[in-house]
Amino acid sequence: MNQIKMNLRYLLLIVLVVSFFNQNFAQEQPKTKTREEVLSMTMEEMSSLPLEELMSLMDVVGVSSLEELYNLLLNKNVVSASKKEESIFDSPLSTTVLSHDQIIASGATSIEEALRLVPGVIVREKTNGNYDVHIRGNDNLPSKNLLLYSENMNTLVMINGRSVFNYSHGGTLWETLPVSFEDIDRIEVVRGPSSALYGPNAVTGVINIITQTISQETPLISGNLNGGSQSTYMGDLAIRKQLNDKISLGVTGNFETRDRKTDEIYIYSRDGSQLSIDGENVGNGYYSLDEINQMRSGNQEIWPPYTVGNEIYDIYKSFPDPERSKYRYGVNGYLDVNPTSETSVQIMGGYQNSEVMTSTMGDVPTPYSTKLASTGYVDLRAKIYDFSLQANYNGGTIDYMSGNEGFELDNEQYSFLAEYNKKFRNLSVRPGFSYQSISYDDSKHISEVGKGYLNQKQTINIMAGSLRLDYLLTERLRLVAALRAEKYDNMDDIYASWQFISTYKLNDKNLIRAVYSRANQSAFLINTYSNYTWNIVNMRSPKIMQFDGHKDNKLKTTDMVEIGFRSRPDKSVLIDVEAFYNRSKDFVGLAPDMTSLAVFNPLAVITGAATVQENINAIVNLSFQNMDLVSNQFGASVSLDWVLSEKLMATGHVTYQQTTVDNYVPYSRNEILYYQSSIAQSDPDLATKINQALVDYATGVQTGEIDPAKQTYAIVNSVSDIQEGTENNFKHEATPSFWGSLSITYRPTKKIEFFPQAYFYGEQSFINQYGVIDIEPSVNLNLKASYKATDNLTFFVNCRNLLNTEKVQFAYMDKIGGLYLAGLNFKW
Amino acid sequence: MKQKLVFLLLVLCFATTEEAFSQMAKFKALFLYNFTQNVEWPPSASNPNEFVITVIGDKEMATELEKLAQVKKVGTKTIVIKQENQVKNLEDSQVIFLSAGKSSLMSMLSSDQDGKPTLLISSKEGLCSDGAAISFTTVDGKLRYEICSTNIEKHGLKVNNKLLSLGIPVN
Repeated sequence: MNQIKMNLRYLLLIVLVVSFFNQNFAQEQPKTKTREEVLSMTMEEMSSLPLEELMSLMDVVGVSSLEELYNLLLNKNVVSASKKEESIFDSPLSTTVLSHDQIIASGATSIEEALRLVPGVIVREKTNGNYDVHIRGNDNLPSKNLLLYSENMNTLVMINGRSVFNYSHGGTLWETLPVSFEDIDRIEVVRGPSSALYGPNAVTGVINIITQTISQETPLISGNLNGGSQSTYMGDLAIRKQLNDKISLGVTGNFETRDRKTDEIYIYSRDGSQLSIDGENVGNGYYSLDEINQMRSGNQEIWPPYTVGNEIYDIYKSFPDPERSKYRYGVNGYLDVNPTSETSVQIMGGYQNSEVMTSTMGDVPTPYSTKLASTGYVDLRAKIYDFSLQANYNGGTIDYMSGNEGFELDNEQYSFLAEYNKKFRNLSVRPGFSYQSISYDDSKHISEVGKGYLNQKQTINIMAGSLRLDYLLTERLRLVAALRAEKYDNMDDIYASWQFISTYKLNDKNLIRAVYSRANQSAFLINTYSNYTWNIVNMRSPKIMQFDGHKDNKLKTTDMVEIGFRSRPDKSVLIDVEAFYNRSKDFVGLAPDMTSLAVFNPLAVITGAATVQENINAIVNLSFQNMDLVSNQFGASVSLDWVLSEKLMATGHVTYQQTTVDNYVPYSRNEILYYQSSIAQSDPDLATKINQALVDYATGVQTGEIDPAKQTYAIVNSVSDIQEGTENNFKHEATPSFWGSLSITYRPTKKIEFFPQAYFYGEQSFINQYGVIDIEPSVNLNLKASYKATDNLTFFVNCRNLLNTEKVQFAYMDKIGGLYLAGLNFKW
Repeated sequence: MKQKLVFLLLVLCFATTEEAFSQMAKFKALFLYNFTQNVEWPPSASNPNEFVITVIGDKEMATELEKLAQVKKVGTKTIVIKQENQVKNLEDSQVIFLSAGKSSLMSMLSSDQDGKPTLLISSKEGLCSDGAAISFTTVDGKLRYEICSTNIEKHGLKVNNKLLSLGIPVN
């Protein structure tokens, strides 16, 4: 850490010195005319000048600040909504674009935090720098289940159209994104099902991070550095150059390190057993690693160490840096080649390494886990006349729960996409073909087969064809239809997704639109291939849990109807209103199939060396299976961007939503298991069945059908019943009923800028298998103040959660306090 | 009192807005005029007396061009400014300027003008892919233009190297 601080100081010094000389040098450049002199010239005088001189004069005048603000806020272009560049006002879908400048001005310290500026996106901080991001919410389904299902498995995050989705469990591991602010030109967010355009997992929408195009105007060196409280330090550096009109090169790097305000983690008793430390009873709460190392749950050690290969997996392996919330760095390389005017090739590659402490994706006595990732990628995009091609590789190793055998996986993902864009007068036709091969392999990281979820390399292949038709029927009416059919190698079904859209321009200032769309998730590796045997050593019961996947699980699908209205009542105002209803079904969740009673150590029991009472315990079979759960959500978002003057602009958005679920099972996994276990234990023929099981076991051993070294138990009986009483119209409140953001940009002078922001949300109630967490409403106030010392150097102070509210934003996670930073942006 | 202050603030805001916009429209008009000096139209297409510039959906731009037309000619031809609000069934023009608010209609305009000796210019960037010959844009607070030689030549026009080299070439 000290080394990092020292390096930062040196870097800061270099930046200041170079900027000083650069500025002085710049000031020596003579100017032919002042702005006032240019503005006083007549139209006739100016029209007599050759173009190059006219351009020089225009550069002296500059585009007005107001003009820049209009372009920055109100007149942006977007690509992701139609796969072609168009004005955001004309976008047929609910669309928001965050420009690079807008993100920097906002003071957002991460890509996730910047998304708080986007209507409909709910962003809650789990630990310092680690966030939950959901488009329109509808999150934590199925509830009363694993924390895993709070991950956003419904939004496709991409970098230049390259998916960065986690196909192992579903979701996005934001910390593994290799790019940072200096890489980013803009972030485009499309709300609503978009699988027809981008493939599976674009269920609630897509977030497409688009990197900068290297041009003559791109600074050779640019970057930012900042640091402050909670040992938070981060920075970016980019070196980019357009060598000639055919070739551009660039290298970028970024790093980030952040601490929590505590080094303790939360512990709960999962099976209701009494927690104790050194014989003294304790309750659920935050404890140090040393305390947890001594803690017992009932008679069992709560975190017993075990050996994997030559390594000890214990609480210290699980949480190597409990005080640190986030550490990451990434490097990226860019090569753009434009061999002819009709062809272009863009190659991007990179690597990232990250360690974060955030919510767990498994089932351990704490809601926290450490995730470790080391991944790389190569992405190639080419345009050849009307063809566009994209091929990429993503791979590396991700340990989803450090110190827990079976959660470390190597992954390889290959994707290929070819599309052809043909225009026939007012009709644009875009057929496409794509292929994805996604492999995960845990075999190198487990001590023996059976200790991992997959226990080998497993692969999901997806082949798809798509067609998009975009027809301008009249100058006002536009009709769009997008269709996609995809085939998985493990399923007979072909999954279809679509978008049917119409937009109608009432006039140049008002547009109405309607959308009907369907999207689906992909298959996930754990849902499909799980085959994991958990021999439990830290709970009283059950003794064994077997987790299985199903190759024929149906994929979750969502249908949505949306209407929207976009208005520009004045050049300085943009209003966007969207109202939506969606219905989701075919959720996949972990649920019990069967509970069996078994006699363990049966040979010892048969020979009288042990009693049945000491050795009878439960074996549980669970699987990642389809549920009857159906979610219904309706809501609306309103956003306003208003440039009041060159000095003042305001942006705001608010979203309201309500979600209800049908076929809701109001029982947790453990409640179902207790129910099944009690039926099994109250079996009136239990004694007879125990004897029969022991006899059968002994016979099997004698005949050689049973290897007692491998099968260490004798099954007595099995129960697969679950409680009755599913509920319909159950109010699902994991997503707040409302949330939004209000922000102002105030520039009292050309050198000074203030950006205050309030991000707010209503109350929420989070249900998982271990409890219900009510989270109170909150308003987070942020403020960034910048001083532009020169054209190349800007200093700033940045306060996130200015009032240091110390509130929990996400269930079971850290209280989020104030973060106070200072830093600079530079470019040459 | 508060209401008056808010009203005053709003008036000031919008007053600044209009001033800033007319400044931008003025320079776009000057650029556009300069483009005409660097593009060659085929003789057969020439109206002996008039050089027609049609402006679609942008009154400010039309106003600035009107001012120019009073003091300048293209060669020996008088500049005639026509205002339209649609892209279909336009009279023959040497230049058509499409406002930002109508940018979604560039492909329709391009189809409609297919084969005609017309220079298509858009107020908004990124429209060369829809058929624009020149699209205005801003880069680091400076007015610039994207230029597509293919789209210019498609309409039988010739463009000189100076215009190409000063613009941002687009495929």
